[in-house]
Amino acid sequence: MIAGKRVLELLQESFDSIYRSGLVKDQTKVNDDTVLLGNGSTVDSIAFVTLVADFEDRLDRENGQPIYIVLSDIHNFNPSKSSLSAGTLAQYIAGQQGE
Amino acid sequence: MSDVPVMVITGTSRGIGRGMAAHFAAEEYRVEGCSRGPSTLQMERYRHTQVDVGDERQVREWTAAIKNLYRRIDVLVCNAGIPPAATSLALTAAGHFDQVMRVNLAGTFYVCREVAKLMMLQRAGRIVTISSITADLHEEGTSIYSASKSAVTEMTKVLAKELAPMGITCNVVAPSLITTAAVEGLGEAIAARFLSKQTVQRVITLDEICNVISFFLSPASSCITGQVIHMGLAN
Repeated sequence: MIAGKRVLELLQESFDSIYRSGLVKDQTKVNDDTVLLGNGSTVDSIAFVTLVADFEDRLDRENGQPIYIVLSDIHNFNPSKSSLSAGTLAQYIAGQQGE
Repeated sequence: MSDVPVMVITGTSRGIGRGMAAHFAAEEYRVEGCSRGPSTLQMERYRHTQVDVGDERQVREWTAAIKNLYRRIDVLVCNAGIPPAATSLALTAAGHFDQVMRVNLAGTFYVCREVAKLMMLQRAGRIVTISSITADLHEEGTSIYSASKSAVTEMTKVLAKELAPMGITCNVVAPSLITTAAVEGLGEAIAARFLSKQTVQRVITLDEICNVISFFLSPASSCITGQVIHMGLAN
């Protein structure tokens, strides 16, 4: 089971990875409130897709088995929010592992 | 990580898929193939997994296993599909419609989605989907099959735009009549009718299909994406 803090660390590594690859101009310091998708996000659609693919890969290696991020499930998980934050994603991942 | 490029091909137990797997495993590729049934091909550089591509979970497990084994996928060829049934739409069962769409369209979607994610991280890759000229002939009796193949072509063209910034190309091969067990099952009369509607009125060969795929895989083809090669048909 990957703890919430570790999820944010892995997300930070994914942000660092897309920064190194040149997909985003600025480095992002990840915390619970970091917006991944929606108003306030620093990544465009291409960078976001790559970020999710990179993050899934890191979760897979950390966890030893795949964890899939399904955006519609995340929305259903937290329908009151119009944007996706790192904290919400971490809660979603915790829920995925509990299934 | 090995220097041998990894090619994933779906539907490799028979027909075009099996032929492609044998062709590319004999070249420089390590080929990972799949079908619902057991392997019919024994080659040093070929590995087979029983997978129903219409089953999302099975596809995820299969592609995850390949990813963990090689940490790379250089080429994906989405070939698995249910062949045309030569049945009038008015007589087609809903179950047949569901089955064709599940394998031909959803199967292509599942495999492309999982492989594309790895290719995005590699910032390189080649995806080739197999369509058919029947979608362009609008041939009677192929409504469901042709609809599924048209959808695959459209999906590939959109995917080509989405993945181009990551250095990944996506193209379509639309073969005309080729002698496989599936085509022979249509019967001589229908096969003859297909041939009469082709621009090049002969059965094409597996080597010709592999030649087109090799063209898409060539380093010199890195700017070729979102294209459809119709084989045997001027379009």
